[in-house]
Amino acid sequence: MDLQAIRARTQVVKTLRQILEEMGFEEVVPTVMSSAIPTEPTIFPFVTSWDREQQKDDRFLATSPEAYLKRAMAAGGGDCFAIGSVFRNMEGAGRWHQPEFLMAEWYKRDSDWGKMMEVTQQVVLQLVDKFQAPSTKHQISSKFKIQNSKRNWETLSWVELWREYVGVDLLTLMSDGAMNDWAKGQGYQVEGASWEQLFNQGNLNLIEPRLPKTPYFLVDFPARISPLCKAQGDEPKLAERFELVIDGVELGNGNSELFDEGRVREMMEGEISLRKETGEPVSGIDQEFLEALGKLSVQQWAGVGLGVDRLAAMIAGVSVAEVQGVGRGEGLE
Amino acid sequence: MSTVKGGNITKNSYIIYKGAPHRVTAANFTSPGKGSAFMRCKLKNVVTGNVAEFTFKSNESVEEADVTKMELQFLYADTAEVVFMDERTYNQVSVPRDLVEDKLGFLTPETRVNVLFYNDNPIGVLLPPNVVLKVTEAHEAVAGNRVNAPKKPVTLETGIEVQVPLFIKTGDHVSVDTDSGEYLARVN
Repeated sequence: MDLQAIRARTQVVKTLRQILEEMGFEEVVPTVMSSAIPTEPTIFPFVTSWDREQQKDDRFLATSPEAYLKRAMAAGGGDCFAIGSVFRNMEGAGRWHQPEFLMAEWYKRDSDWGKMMEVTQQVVLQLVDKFQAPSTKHQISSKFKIQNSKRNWETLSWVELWREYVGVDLLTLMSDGAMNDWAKGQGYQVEGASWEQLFNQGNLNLIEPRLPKTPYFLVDFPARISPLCKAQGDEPKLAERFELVIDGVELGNGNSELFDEGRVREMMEGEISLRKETGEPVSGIDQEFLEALGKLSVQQWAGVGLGVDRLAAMIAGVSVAEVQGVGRGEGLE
Repeated sequence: MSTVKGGNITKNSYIIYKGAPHRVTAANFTSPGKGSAFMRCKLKNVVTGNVAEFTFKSNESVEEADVTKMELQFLYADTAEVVFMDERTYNQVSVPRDLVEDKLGFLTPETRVNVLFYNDNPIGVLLPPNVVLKVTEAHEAVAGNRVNAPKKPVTLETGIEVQVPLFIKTGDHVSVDTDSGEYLARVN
């Protein structure tokens, strides 16, 4: 265990908490285990079981603090944040990812994705400025990259990136058939591939190698792969969603919140029945979460989730496994 | 035809990419969207040597290339072919010279290399990471040349030239990196 690396993570947590409190966000401490959690396509929970005499019930480890925070918001809370351990099943490990990680998530009332991008940038810049790097064995190059970056991070649109680097109008590829045809033309295997996989395969092969190493926000995500995000008013095929990318690594994901209880319920029920067929891990419907959305339906909120371990690993120049103190992890470059 | 899942592609394995056999020189797992995972690969065409990068979906089937290796001894090179021998059976294998031209400078008789076969045809050789070669021509170091460039060129028994430290003399044996062509150490 590299003590300097795990101290980097502790310090990111402390500093983040201080910054968010100073900005007026109230901390809530979420539970890690629940009897039901929200189901989203491509996010898979770890399932455990609560065994008692003659009784056995499924319990689910949190995949994000989102449901807990939204319940607090629905209970009348104001701007709020949580820093919690989350767990993602059916994903590999690597320098930037482990199945367990710390996620900071915060929500702001009367806000939207544009305002949330500004808040996110402020938080990360303040954090990097305040961070007193313990001297790790590696250079803290990303810290300097962030500090030396323009103070106004650029915004890159998926639609424009596809137009420029792929030569295709992404908005015309929103159906399964159109995306399949395009992918076949690229020589990609389409059998058994989802729309999202082909979209990502295109991004990884044709766009990502050309993206800058400096911090930027990716915007104009297809609405069909952004389930809990509001659609854009003037282009409903796109979501009011952004990702923060630094040094080629996704650090945060935020959006204007979709509180359409009926639509979210429909999406979750569809995904649950799909997983029951394939035998993939899945929770039952999270009624409390859906009720919370119902109560919030007339309000405007925006939120963002930030990968705390990734940010700490980036600043300290080590892997996520190292800031977690779990060795060097698998699949490292 | 055997296949491998994209997520299980490993470094140094051989796959078919765009219809041609490629060696995987790097394979890194990545999951950009939640749950949708990919394998980012660096590939080297084993026939042309051209390099490419491609990202496979972790659940797609990728055709494995039937590339096999056989450890053989280098015998000689003529203008068209380079000839190797199986030490156990004395069978000889000829590889077209243009496929191994860049490697001849590291081959001395009896050097053991891995000859690569694709669909049973020899397509190239894999050299050991380093080889020991004799210095056949080395000039005395020039005084005054020691401060900024304490290296000098020498010629080795195969005819290639490498930069070595000034203390190397004719008749010495030196270890050379077969990938970069750089001097590694003097060998006694």
